[in-house]
Amino acid sequence: MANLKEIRIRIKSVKNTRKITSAMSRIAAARLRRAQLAMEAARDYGTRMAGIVGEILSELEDAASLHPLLAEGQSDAVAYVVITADRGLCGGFNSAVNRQSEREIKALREAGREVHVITVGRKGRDYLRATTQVTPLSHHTAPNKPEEVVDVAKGVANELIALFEGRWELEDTTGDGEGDTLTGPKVGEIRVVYNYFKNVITQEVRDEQMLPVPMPEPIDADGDGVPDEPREAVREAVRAFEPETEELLAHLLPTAVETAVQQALYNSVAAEVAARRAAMDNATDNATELIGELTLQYNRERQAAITKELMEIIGGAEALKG
Amino acid sequence: MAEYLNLDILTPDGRVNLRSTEDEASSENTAIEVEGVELPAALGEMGVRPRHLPFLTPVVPGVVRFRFGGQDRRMAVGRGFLEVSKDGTVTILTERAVRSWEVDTDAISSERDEVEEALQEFRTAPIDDARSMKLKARRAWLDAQLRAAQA
Repeated sequence: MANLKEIRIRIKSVKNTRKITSAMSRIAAARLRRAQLAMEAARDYGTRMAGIVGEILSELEDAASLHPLLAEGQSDAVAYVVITADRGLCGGFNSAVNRQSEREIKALREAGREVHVITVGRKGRDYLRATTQVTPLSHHTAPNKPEEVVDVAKGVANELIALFEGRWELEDTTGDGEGDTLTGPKVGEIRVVYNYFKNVITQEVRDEQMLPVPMPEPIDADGDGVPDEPREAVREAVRAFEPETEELLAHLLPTAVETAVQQALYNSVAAEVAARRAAMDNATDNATELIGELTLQYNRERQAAITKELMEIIGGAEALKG
Repeated sequence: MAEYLNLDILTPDGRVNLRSTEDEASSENTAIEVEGVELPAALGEMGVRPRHLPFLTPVVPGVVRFRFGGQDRRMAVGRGFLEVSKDGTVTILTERAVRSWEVDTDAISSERDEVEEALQEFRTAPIDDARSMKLKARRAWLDAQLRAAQA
């Protein structure tokens, strides 16, 4: 049986933990609203942009042959963009993405394919380094604030396109001091793994193809099973560029990739705060419950000690009367 | 009488407040009615007036001009798309937008000088060199902001 002092120390420590978790939960709750608003604004932009991209691509004939970013890559290698947080204490947020990426990377490796990784967020980098011995080609700090997303997305998107087109350059590490660049790996497919913000309490790990830019499903808004006619505006846009359709695509596709990366990042940022809030809320509740149990135990012990002392005094007095 | 079209600029940061010159939170933030708008399309500067055909075209970094509230307004935009819908709504989807009165001219011009200097190194590099392309894109965006602030 624990003695009184031990229980007292335990209660104090749990109380301190609860202070931290409840503060973190409140901070996350305040940030959540902002992140959620930012994400919703970005979702507007993202869906409109994806819509335009989709409409134009489905209007083009044999689009895959028109631009390298649409064509199947010639390389067998695959690259993963793994988006996690820089910090922990957010429930299963990081580990869900990490485990999924680890599983896929290992499966691909077993199939004899080369796998490269670009990480956003320290947690993903550390985990993958430890479990799959992969060194990320490049690493970005996870965006903390919604304002940082656009810049990070731009950087990542540029890297992805370079990687896919085989323009990736490695810093010269041979140490001859000439600083010339070596040609790096080339990949035939790029996927992104991230947490999708479903709602405030649910995050969902998503794994999407980034490059080659996926061809859209035929749009069928009225649901009659026959793809809708493309809008006149889209046809007009495509026609305006003929025969230089590549020029249109050269504008469209990088924008599409960048928007897709942005969407993933915005979702991840919002999902991170949501996950942290839920996790810290739970932790605070658990701490409160634990404190209750410990206090009860403490009072019982104290009462038992008093009773024991009383018994001893009475026993002593009885003996003296003897 | 005068006809109007609805102008709306969407960026990943949300809808740009075109209504007021104050900061974002001040007033309701919806599409505004304008008589026309000029913007930098990929095939050249273009203007949109009411009853334009439904239309879709890429937008390159440059300056968007329109008249609202009795004032000429300018705005620097980045790459993106223009969409004119059937009901006469003009939507500019762009990666970023800065209103001309928010441009910090000094900071931008000094950054432009730096970019220019960095580009000198790539004069002999192949035209599709990744880093020089990145710098050129940056320069285009800085130029757009400067032009929005000056013109």
